[in-house]
Amino acid sequence: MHRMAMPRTGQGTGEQRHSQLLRGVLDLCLLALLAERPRYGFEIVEALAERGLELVSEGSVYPLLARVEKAGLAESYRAPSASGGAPRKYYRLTGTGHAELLAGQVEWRRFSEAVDRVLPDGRRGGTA
Amino acid sequence: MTMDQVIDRCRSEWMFSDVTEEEVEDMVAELRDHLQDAVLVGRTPQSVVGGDVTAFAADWAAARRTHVRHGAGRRLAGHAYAGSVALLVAGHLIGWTGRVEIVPASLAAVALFASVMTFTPYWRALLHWPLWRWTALSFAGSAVLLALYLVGGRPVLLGVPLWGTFAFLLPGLGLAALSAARRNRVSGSARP
Repeated sequence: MHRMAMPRTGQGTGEQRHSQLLRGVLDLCLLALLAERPRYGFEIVEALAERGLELVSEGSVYPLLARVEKAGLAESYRAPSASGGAPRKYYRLTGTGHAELLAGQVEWRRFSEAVDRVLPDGRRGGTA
Repeated sequence: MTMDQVIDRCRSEWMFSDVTEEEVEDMVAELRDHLQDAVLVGRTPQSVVGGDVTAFAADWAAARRTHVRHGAGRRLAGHAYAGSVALLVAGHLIGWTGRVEIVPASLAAVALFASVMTFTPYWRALLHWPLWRWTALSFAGSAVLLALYLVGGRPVLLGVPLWGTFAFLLPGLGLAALSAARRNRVSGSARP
């Protein structure tokens, strides 16, 4: 039987799109969180989740942190965590990281404004 | 999977991923901290690393690797060289002789070793193989030994004296020393 290639709808597609969109801006979000204060991996995941950005696999933040550190945008150091216990590996933003964040924010604003001009505004029920 | 199983699996992957021992320990400590925190708030280790632990570990290792991985040709040459050195040294030591004879089976063994090491990047997954795969590997190993026997120990293609083995070993030792010095320089400059 021939099946037409229809776009899938529903929760699965929504999650997939959310995941793809997040993948495109995760590095920027990461830099923004590190600009607020130094954080360790688990804190970054928690901060993202608090703001509505849940990672499908939360460990995926580590390869990204490694790339960001290798690119010189962040640096790491070990220090005791606020809750006590063994020292954690904290990441903080470097000067290059701050510059990259600013450039990324400008780019993101330009991009999201362009998308807003294309996508209909759901609240008004029509095109903008 | 339990927390310890996830850590073991990742450590095995990282140990064979061109990541230095120091970095492996650093990654293990970071992962353990995260897994402990996640378990404390009621999440599973699987939710941290995702459905494919090996892919997660490989992705992280690739991101941490500080040097470019060489192409297949260069790795094949390196493995063939290492296999040849091992064969010569073992020949001298096991036979307790100053002269090792290179026969067709020696060349076949080195070629097989280099090919397996170069073109089967997941040979390290052997550590996690189920019994039936180990059984298949044992049969394959026996078949290889039989093939090498059939390839033959005659004619002798080349006799390598002890000094020849040392001369063959020298370039490898020099390259290893250079590479170690470069690694030390890189890790020294990366340290705050």
